[in-house]
Parts: sequence; structure tokens; C-alpha cells
Amino acid sequence: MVSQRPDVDRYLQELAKGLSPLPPAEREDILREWSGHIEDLVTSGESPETVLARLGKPAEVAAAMVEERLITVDRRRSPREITQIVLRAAVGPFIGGVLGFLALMASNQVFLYAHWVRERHVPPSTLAWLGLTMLPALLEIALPTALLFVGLLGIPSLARTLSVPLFRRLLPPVAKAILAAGLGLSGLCFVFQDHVVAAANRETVRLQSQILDPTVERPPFSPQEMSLAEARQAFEDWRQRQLHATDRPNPFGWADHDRTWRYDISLKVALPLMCLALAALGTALGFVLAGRQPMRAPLRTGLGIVATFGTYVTLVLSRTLAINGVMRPELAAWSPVIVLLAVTGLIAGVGLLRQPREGSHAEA
Amino acid sequence: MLRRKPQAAAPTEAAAADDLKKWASQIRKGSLEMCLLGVLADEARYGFEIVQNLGTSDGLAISEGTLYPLLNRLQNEGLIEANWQESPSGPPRKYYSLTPSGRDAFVRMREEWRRHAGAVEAILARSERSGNVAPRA
Repeated sequence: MVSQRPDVDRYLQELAKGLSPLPPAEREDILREWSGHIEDLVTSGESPETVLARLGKPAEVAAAMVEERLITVDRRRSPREITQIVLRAAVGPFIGGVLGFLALMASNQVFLYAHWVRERHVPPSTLAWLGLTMLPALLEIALPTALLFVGLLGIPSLARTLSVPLFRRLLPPVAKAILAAGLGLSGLCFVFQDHVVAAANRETVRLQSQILDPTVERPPFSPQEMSLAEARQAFEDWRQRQLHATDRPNPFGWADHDRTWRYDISLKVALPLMCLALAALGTALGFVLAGRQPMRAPLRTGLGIVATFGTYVTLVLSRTLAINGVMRPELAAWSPVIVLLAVTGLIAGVGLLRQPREGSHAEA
Repeated sequence: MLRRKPQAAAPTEAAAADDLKKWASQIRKGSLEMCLLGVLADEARYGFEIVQNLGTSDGLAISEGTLYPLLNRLQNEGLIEANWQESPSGPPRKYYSLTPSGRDAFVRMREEWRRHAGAVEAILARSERSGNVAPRA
């Protein structure tokens, strides 16, 4: 296959690179045929430069060949096969997102626990149980993160493995499925939060205070350890008590307590909706980044990590602004979700505007 | 209240030539598959030969970028098949030939084309006879 002409060899090399999605046998076949064809053209009298210029850019030629094969293969796929492909593209990022986030948070605790084992002689079984009680609260943030990665990693990987017509047909139902999952998981998180997470948090605080200083009385319950109804009731009771108190020794403490509780109670409704917001963000990003040459997976994973970090920052920032009185606590609790939805809308808008110009999606 | 559309300026010569080219390419696309099957009907040929064969008539010139994906598709549809054959002069070549179903499809396409061309020709002949639309000088 090697001819004496370096530019022809270079052309064939680039063609081979573009054909890499194809199985080796097919790739070899196409390359053999093309090199023979180029040989014949050159022998018939045309100069190599003219020939190569007329054939077109190797990347484009390869893309046309790959697309042709994908269309054929996809036409033969059964619906069950297609469902399997879609599920595989979604499940991987989901599990990876959950485990990755949990691992990150766990690494945070590992050093602390090691210290406790050594200095305070806490039995490891207690620490294992403590870790387990923290799991529900962490899952409440891990699930939205996982949905972000499903959209961000899954949608472009589908664009790579399926032909353009099939991908365009599947994109609306896949996007709707991810959003539906976001909504469903939001509802699940809300219920989960009220019962499992609250109880688990109570246990966490009990164990932690026991480990740190058994003599001191356990601190009073915080909203995170109660269900929504209980927290509202406790807050009302506290306010009633304050109204009838004759003296307020610490007015600042009162204001802080008031704002903190209002924020935390509002967050109980707003936080589960992060599932929906991050699912939407992941879908929008995945849609915008999909294409015949999508952004490579490591880069997209990095983008997901940045997005997760950004979400975390907005959460912490909103809490700080609320407690310090800069923002109304109820508004502050909802601001991360609002910001995320606004960013999603912006990205989706840009993506939809870009579409007619992009060749890979404009073709039917 | 509808705004009256301004009268369109008469198309320039260059724009007219451009439109004609677009229309001609549409016509060519419509008959390409049939012509390809026709070229392979009498004997098996390889890619280079096919391009040369089709290129002899000005209206059917085809580029490699269009030909090879089309050959691929026809193979996948079972209308043509390909075999590698050693060649005494030069590298081995992939020869394409019609399958029985390809032959069948070609015959039917040919009939349909003749029928369609006949109807079109009738309209064109009538327009020439009437004398209102003279052929270009």
C-alpha cells in the first residue's frame, strides 16, 4: 500500500485516522481501494496534488464513509438493541457520578476518622456506623450530580456511536427521559429527606457529640434533623417563646437563629429540586457539546466537576448571604436552583441558535 | 393589511446560470443510482473505471466522494456485490457487479425512467412546435 509519493501516504494516513471508528477489516478494505484508485488516477496522467485536491479533505471523506456505515448498521438495529445502547450510555455516568461524589466526600472524612481512632481510641465500628449515617445526606447531593453527568457524558457519547439520523430521532425522548428522571428523583429526594435523612442526621450528630465530648449535653436539634413539618412547628414554637420573653440578652443571636432557620426550612423544599435543575443543565450541555467530533470525555468530565463545584459554591454563598442578612433567607435558599435554571436556559438558547449553521446536525 | 411586495428585479445572467446549475445537479442526483446500476449491468467494473465511464458524458460526471458511499449503500441494500481481483498491471482491484435483485431493480428503474421521460418529452416537443418558445440561438 505504500507508494513512492509522501503526500499520497500522508493523505492515506489521515484517511485511516478518520476511519478509526470502523472495524479494522473494513478500514483496511477502504484504504486498499482508495490507494489503488489514487494510483490509477496518477498513472493516468494527473499530478498527485490535483488528484488529492479533487478527492477532498481526508477527514471529510472519512466522516462520510463512517456516517454511511453507521446509517446502515443503525437501520439493522432492533429497538431492544437501541434501548440497550442508550441505557448503557446513561448508567455508566450515573453510577460513576454517585460513586465519585461519595468518594470525594468520604476522602474528606477519612483523615478525621484516622485521627479519632488514634487519639481518642474510638472503635472503628462506631466510625463505620457514623460514616453510614452520613450517607443519606450525601446521597441527596450525589444524585443531582449524577444526573448532571448522565446528560453531560451520555448524550455526546450517543452522538459518537449512532448515525446522525438515529441520534436526532432519539435526542428528544432521551432528553425528556433525563428530565423526567430529574423530576422523579426530586420527588424521591423530598420524601427521602423528610424521613431517612432527618433520622440519619440525628444519629450522626449524636455520635459525633459523643465522640467529641461525652460530658457536654447534646446540642439542640437543627432543621436538618427534622422533617419539614416538625421544623416548621419547632420554628413557630421558638418564635412564640421569643415574643413572650421579657428580655432578649442577645439580639444578634436571635437574628442569626431566625435567619438560619428560615433558610434551612426553605432549603428543605428547594434542595430536592436540584435534581431537576442539574438534570436540565446536564442535558443542555450534552446537547450543545454533541457532534461528530464531540469534546473528549476527560474534558467533559472536567467540565462536570467544575459545574458541580460551581453548584456547591452557590449553595454555600447563598447560605452565607442569608445568615448575614444580605439576602432574604427564603430567596437565598431558592437562588441556587434559579441560577442553575437560568444558566441552563442560556446554554440551551445558544445551542438552539447555533444549530442551523452546524453541518453535523443540519443534515436530515 | 398586507404590504405589497416590491417587484423583484430581473435575475442577472450570473444568478440565472447559478440556478440552472442547481437544477441540473438535482436532475443528475435523481438518475445517478440507475446510471450506476446501468454501467455495471454489462460487465463488472472497479471504482476508477466507473468514474471514467460515467464521466465521459458531461451530465453524469461524478466525484469519488459521491461514488464510494453510494457503492457502499447499494452493497448494503444487496443490489451490487464486490470482489477483490488480482490485476496483472498494478495493485489488486475491487470489482463491483450486479446481483440478481440489482439486475431486477435496474430493469424496473429503466422502465419507470422511460415512462417519465416520455411524458416530459411530450410537453417539451409541444412547446417547441407551438413556436412561442424558440430554442436558444
